[in-house]
Amino acid sequence: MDPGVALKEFADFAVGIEVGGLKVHKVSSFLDERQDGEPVTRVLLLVDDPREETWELDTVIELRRLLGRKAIEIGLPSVSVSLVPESEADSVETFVR
Amino acid sequence: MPTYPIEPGKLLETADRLAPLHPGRGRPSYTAHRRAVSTAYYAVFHAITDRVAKAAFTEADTAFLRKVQRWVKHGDVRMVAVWVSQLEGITAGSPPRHIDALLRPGSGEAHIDSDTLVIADGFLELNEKREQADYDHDAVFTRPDTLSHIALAKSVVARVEGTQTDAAKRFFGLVAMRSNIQSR
Repeated sequence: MDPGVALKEFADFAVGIEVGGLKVHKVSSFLDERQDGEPVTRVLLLVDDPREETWELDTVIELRRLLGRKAIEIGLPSVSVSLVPESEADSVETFVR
Repeated sequence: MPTYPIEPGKLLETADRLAPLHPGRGRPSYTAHRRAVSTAYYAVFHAITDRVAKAAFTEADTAFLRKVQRWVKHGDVRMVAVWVSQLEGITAGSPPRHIDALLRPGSGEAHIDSDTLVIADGFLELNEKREQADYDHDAVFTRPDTLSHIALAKSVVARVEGTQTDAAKRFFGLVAMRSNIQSR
C-alpha cells in the first residue's frame, strides 16, 4: 500500500476510537526514522482530558497496542504514539491549524 | 568508602520530582518533562540489567554484578523485546526463524507470559520515548503523557524486580546471551 494511502487509512481508523472511556478526536501522523535508521510511524493523538492528572495506564497501553496492530495490518512501521489532551491542543502546532 | 549505585527506585523518585503529580505554582517546563521520561526509562533499563546480570551469575557478589551490568547494552534488551513484541503481533516484522521456534515451539506453550509482555512492551515504549526526549526537537511531551510514561516505568520496574516466572527468566537469559564481554 502507498504510504500516503496507508497513513490516511490509519488516521481514519484512529479518529473516533474510544478505549476505556478515552476518545481520540484528531490524529496527526507521519513516517520518520529512529536514531538507528529504523522506520517508525509517529502518531500524535488529540484525546479527552484525563479525569485526574493522567489517564489510566491500562487504557493507554490498550490504545497503543490497538494502533500498533492496525499499523502492522496496513504495512506501516511500528508506531510511536504521543497523547495530547484537549486542554493542551493550543500548545501543539499541528492541532492549531 | 561511599558508593553511589544506580538504583531504579531512586531514578523513579527523580522522575517524580521532575514531573510531580501535584505541582505547586507554575508547571514544570517541557524540558523537565523530557528529562522525566528519559530518567524513567533509565530506571527500567537498570532494573533489567540487574536481573540480566543475576540471571547469568547467580552466585556472584554485588561488585561483580555491577561490573557485568555495564556490559548490557540498550540494543541487547531492545532486540529481545522486539522478538517478544513481534511474536505477540504488536511490533511489525518477525523474529528470526530459530528465535521463533525457541520462544514459540511447535509443541507446548509459548515462552511468553504476561510478565514478559509487560516488560518487553514497556521497555520498547520507553526506549522509543527516551530517544525522542533526548534527541527529537519536534517531539511533544504533554504533562499527562509524561505522567503516563512515569507510571508505565513504575509498573515495568515492579514487574522486572518481582517476577519469578520461567518465561521472564528466559527473557533475561536471552538478553544476557546477546551481551558481550566489553574491554572495560
